[in-house]
This record gives sequence, structure tokens and C-alpha cells, in this order.
Amino acid sequence: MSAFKVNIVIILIGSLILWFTTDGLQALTSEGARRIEITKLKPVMPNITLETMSGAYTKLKSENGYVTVVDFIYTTCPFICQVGGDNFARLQAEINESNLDNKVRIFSISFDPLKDNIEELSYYGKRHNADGKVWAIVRPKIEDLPRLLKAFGVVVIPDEEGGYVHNSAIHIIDQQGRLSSILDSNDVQGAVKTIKRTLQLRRVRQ
Amino acid sequence: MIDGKMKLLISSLIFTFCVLSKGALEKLPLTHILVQLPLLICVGYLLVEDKSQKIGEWYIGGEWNKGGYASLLIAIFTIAFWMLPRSIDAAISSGTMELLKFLTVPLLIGVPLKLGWHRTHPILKGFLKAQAISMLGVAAFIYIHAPIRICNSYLENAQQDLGYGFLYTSIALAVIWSAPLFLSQSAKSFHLQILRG
Repeated sequence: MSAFKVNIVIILIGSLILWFTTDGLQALTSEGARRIEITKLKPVMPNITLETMSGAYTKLKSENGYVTVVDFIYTTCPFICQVGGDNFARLQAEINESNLDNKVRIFSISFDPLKDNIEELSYYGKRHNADGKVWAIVRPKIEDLPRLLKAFGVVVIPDEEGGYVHNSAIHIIDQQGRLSSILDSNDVQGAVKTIKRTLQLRRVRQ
Repeated sequence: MIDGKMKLLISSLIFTFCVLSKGALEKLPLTHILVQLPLLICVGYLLVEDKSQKIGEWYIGGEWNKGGYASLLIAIFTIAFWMLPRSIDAAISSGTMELLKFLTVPLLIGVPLKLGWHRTHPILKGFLKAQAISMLGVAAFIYIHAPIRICNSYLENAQQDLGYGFLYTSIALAVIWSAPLFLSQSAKSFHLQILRG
């Protein structure tokens, strides 16, 4: 084979590999890849038991066909989670204003269930005005934590100050318990839109 | 001069070091990207000899690699692949990708660079060096100032350290590659020729 042909073949193969490994040049980071994969596959999330800040127990999948909004936190987090808390406070207000409070639930799930006991959870809830009806601060059982994080694609690594670093985002679970979209944690408007669209999809199908 | 066997020995020693120090070097993105990967490239670079080497009946530096373009292209595509933050993340979280890294970085970057570089036209060499310097500069800027965490496996300040690592590497390469132009005798006479018109 001549050098010219070999070069063309290499360029073709190389471009194809790069095209496929970046999902068509859309995702250069694994966080980007996670979001694209989820909108494509809509994986069913494990229906684990969650303990709420009021000490009650609930399930991740709603039995009443609610849309569930989830973020991951640890209550002693100094920065991101507190900002995330403010975002979720805004989201809670938006949901109440749009009269979606009987169709949507919000969970802030602690990935540090050992330190985050009921008192810590409810303190975090009070600080951000979580009403406990639409928005609850919850924790999973420690043995459910690994598969929960794995299913959501959340990576938690300890930082140098005794806290954690994690990819924070707004996760939206549809009425069938499938993770259907992931948005930036400050994209409250986008989350409201996605929730409304998810609810409409259901109505059309019925 | 170091002979072929010696190079092979050094190459396998470096490879063994890379495998053994895997955990330590991959703890930080700085050492993962700027120590482990260059070492793995060296492993491949030392692994093969120049043009005259034969594998069976087949010359590894034959017609297919005229001007070194083919092997440079292989190296560039492989470098591009391992420049993706998600490839690096995957190399940490998946054993298959880790294995792929230890194979492709020596064999598809180091080996082709060795086979292609000496037959590359000097102007193309200069262009590629300039590209490498500026690309590292751009990467430095991105990694220092990115408002997001680029790798899920690493902390944000570690990401900034890597950015500064890119910056210093870029400066070092610029100095190393341009210094001979000012120092060497031929360059001096070249300048003189220009001055004399």
C-alpha cells in the first residue's frame, strides 16, 4: 500500500475512534458522558429506602406517580452543597407556585449517612427552608450507598479538609423511577421546564 | 552510544517502574499526566530501532511510512485520545482502559514517534514543536481557570496544579527547543550569512 493510502486510512480510523469516544464530539469529560448516556438510556434507579429528616421512611420511587428530583449532599459541606441548598429552595418555591406540589417530590440525599444523623439532616432542612412535604432531606442506609451512587454515576472523593468533593447536579427521575435527565445544579429554570415536560409525557401516554 | 540491548533493558525497567508506581503516580493528575504518560512514551521510543529493523520480511520503516507522516498521524491521534479528560477518568475507574493505556501509550505514541520523527521534514518538525508548545499553553489556561471539575476522579486544586504543570512544561520545551538555535555554531554562521545578505 502506498504511503498516501496508509495516511488516509489512519486519518479515517483515528477520526472515527475520537468521534465515538466523545459521543460525536459532545462529551469530552466523564460528567458530560454521564449526562448524554442517561438521556439516551433512562436507566431505572434502585428503589432503595430513605430515612427522612423527620425520622420517617420513604422509597426513592414514588408510589403515587410523582416526578422525583434528587441532588446529593453532605450537610457539613461548606460550599457547593449550601449553594445547591439555595437552588433547591428556589426550586421548591417554583414548584409550589406552579401548583405542582402534588406531582413532584424533591430529595436531597446525603452520601454521608454515618455523620448525617436525623438532627443534622433537619438542621440542614431548616436552614434552607425545606418544608418536608415537597422537599425532604434524606439519607440512605449505609449498605445501599455504593449501588445508589453507582446507579446515579456520582463520584465522591475525600478532599484535604476532611470534607468531600463530588459531581453535583440536579437529577430528575420520572414517574416510572427512571433517571431521565441531569442538569447543572444552578439550572433551576431548566429543571422546572424538564419536570413539566416529564409530567406532560405521562399525560399524553394515558 | 547506548546500544540496542541496553535500550531494551532501560525500556523494560521504565515500564516495570510505571507498573509498580501506578497507584502513587495516579493519585494526582499532575504525576499521572506529566510523569507516567511521558515515561510510557519513552518505553515505546526505546523499544524499536531505526529504519533497518525487520519484523519477518517486513521493514517497519518501509514505503508505508514515507516522510514519517503515517507514524506521526498514529501518534497524534493516540495523543488526542489520551488528552480527553474522560479517557483519563476511565483509565482510573476501569481496568480495561488502564490496560489499554499501558499498551497504547508506548506502542501507538512512543514507537511511531521513533519511527517517524527522524524522517520528518524539518519544517514539519518545527511546526509540530510549535503546536506542542502552544497546545500545552492552551491546556494550562483551561486547567487553571476552568470553572468546573474536568475529571471526576480528581480534586479541583489538583486540576489547577496540572494546569501549572502544563505551563512550566510548555515554557521548558520552548527554551529547550529554541536554545540550540542561539547556541550552535551552524546557527551563528546562518545568522551571519543573513546579515551579509
